[in-house]
Amino acid sequence: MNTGQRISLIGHLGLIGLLLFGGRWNSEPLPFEVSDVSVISEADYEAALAAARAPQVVSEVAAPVPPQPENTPPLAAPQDAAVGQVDGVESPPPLVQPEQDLAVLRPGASPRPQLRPLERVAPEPVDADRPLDAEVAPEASPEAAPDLAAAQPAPQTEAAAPEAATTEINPEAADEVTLAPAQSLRPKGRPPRPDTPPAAEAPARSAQADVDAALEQALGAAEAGDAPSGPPLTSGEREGLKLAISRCYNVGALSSEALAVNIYLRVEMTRAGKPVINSITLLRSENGSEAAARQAYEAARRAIIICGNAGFDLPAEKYDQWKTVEIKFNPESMR
Amino acid sequence: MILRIYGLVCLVLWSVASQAQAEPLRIEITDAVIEPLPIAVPDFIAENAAAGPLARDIARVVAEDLTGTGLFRELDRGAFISQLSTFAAPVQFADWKAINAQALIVGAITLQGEQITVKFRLYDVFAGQEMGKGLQLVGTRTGWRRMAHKVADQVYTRLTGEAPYFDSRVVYVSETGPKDDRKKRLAIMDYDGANTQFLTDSRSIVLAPRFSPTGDRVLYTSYETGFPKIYVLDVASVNRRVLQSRAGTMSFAPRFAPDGQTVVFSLESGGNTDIYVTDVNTGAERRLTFAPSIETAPSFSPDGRQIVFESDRSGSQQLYVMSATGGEARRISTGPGRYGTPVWSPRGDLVAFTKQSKGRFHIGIMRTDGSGEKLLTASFLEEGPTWSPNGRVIMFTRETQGAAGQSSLYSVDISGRNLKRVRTEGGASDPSWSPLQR
Repeated sequence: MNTGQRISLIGHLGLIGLLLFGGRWNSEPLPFEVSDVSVISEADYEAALAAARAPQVVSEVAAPVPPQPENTPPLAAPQDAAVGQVDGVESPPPLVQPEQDLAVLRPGASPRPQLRPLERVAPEPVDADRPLDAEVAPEASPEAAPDLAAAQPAPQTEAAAPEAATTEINPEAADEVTLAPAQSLRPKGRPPRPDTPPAAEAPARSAQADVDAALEQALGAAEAGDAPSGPPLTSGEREGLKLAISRCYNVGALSSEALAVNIYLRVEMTRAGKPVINSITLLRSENGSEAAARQAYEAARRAIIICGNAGFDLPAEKYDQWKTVEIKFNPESMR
Repeated sequence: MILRIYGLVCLVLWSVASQAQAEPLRIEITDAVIEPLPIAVPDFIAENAAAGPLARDIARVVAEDLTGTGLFRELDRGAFISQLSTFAAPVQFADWKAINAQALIVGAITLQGEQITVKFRLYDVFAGQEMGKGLQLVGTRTGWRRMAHKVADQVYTRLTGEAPYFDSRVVYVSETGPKDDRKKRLAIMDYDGANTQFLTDSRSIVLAPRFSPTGDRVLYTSYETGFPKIYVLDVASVNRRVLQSRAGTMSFAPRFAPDGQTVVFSLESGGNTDIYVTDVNTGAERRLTFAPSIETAPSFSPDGRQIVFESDRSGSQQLYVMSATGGEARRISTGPGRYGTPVWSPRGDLVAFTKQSKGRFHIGIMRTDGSGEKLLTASFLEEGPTWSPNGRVIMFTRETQGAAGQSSLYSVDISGRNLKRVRTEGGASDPSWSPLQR
């Protein structure tokens, strides 16, 4: 018996004991009040209830009459008075234009800011007198005996960054340093599978060999590449494609019968996301006559061609996923 | 054994997985946009010098027909990159794509004496191919507008899948003068308001003209004798005769049956109004309703088997459907308000009606069982819907408020879009749309 089982056993025994002998910890029932009631007759009950009822309307109350206006003077009709000079209002004094264009206030001249000397942190130039565009003659170096060590491949070292020269310390440069890995390791490839012996060489196949062969065929075919590879399109990518097509799916000129038709078509796409026009094929249609299906198909076809003219925004790395697209056009929201 | 089963399971899983991976990307488009389709309608090419003005005019009528539906938008001709010189010249699709023309109409006209030859081709620009085959029409110079409508009808049908309706006419009541002394007479015009002609004078009040299924006759109600009587008028000769006359009665609201030989109408006798049918040739009458209420505004279904009408038998004006031979009627209008002037759609799937609710009038549509009611318009006063031959557009009367109120004709798509006024000479009311001309 291990420790866990022991703990479980002790716990269960304790629980059983609590259930068997725990009665002494039961609390007494809480006290409650008991009051006496008396039985009354129906007549008494009605009498008591009548006192609480709303009073009944026994007579119509005259609606209040709105108060009459007391000698309200009639409004005088506005008269078309001639617009003229109004007496009793002083007209503002005429503005006196200054004879000369003089500035009243002269802005105070503030001291011109002066440049502060900068602390130089860049290294001193090695050869300050040499012009920058002067060609540097190669220096003659004495011939040296071939170094044996040079024949050995030098260990690959990271190239040191050239010395930075600046006049200021840039504190923001430190922010660019991140501890996050810049790139992840490429996943290792699947180890090569051992060649299966030819069937002729195997005199008898065991059950295990059959299973291995089936698994190998399954996995091998999946790797063969005729199926789409790469991750599937995300829902956002699918919705983006749907939105792009529906923007050009104009059903305004369709007959009501054609509007009721569902169209299934297939289209091949180029790697640039453009539909191959000749590949657009009507697979089938639902809910309408052949003529109506034809109209609906033409509208659907136009939508693909027009909005795919510049290429749909699809991830190139998932091309195998959208190389062939089957679209159901079901304009149910427009019916 | 276990290993075998395990292997079998692996095989099944593999086949399922590989099939799933080999499947194409599948998406479903449920949203769409409703926008006028951009089309290019360059002037038609005049294949001889005399055809020059007509080439421009016909192209303009074609463009106006198409853009008038609200389904198409004509591109500015100044934006065209390609210029068409001959009808047989290859189309530079890239040039038309560049201006986002989704359809291109190329036409040519030849005028020889009084005979016009119009030919056209319709192109799907982004598909880079022709839609349908080129078509050539021959007609007279005076009928050039009809030829333009014919071209527009073909383009409309090829692009939308709907039946055409541009080559049709409308008969209506032309109104002149003040409201308290209004002169009314029958007039007929092209569906777009062109080529108006008057069929009657203004000496007596005329009401509710209705085309026959072949468009060659018109039924209407006239107060010529002081009592409303139903007349039938031959459009070509303008000859007319009384269709129904019984002393002491008033007959009104006539409408042809789809066979063109039977007319259904309302007859008021002794203070009660009921629905009757009569044979145009023999004058034989038969009563269809026997209720003490007012039954009026009957309209046949396209197959001639049912009649929709209005009745106040329930206490308020509502819509009912009964067999064309009479019998029990079932109520189809269920919403609040009063319903009237029902008209069965040429397609047979909808009924257009006038509705009065909360002090406003509406033109609406509903399915023939009363479901799917949709109000298309709303105003101070509007009534009398009539269907376009293809059942896609409704024309009706709208009257403005006040003593100087004027009646006008309006049209609206059954989707409720593209409400617009129809051009008429003066006031107009009570339209009736003809079938497509032959």
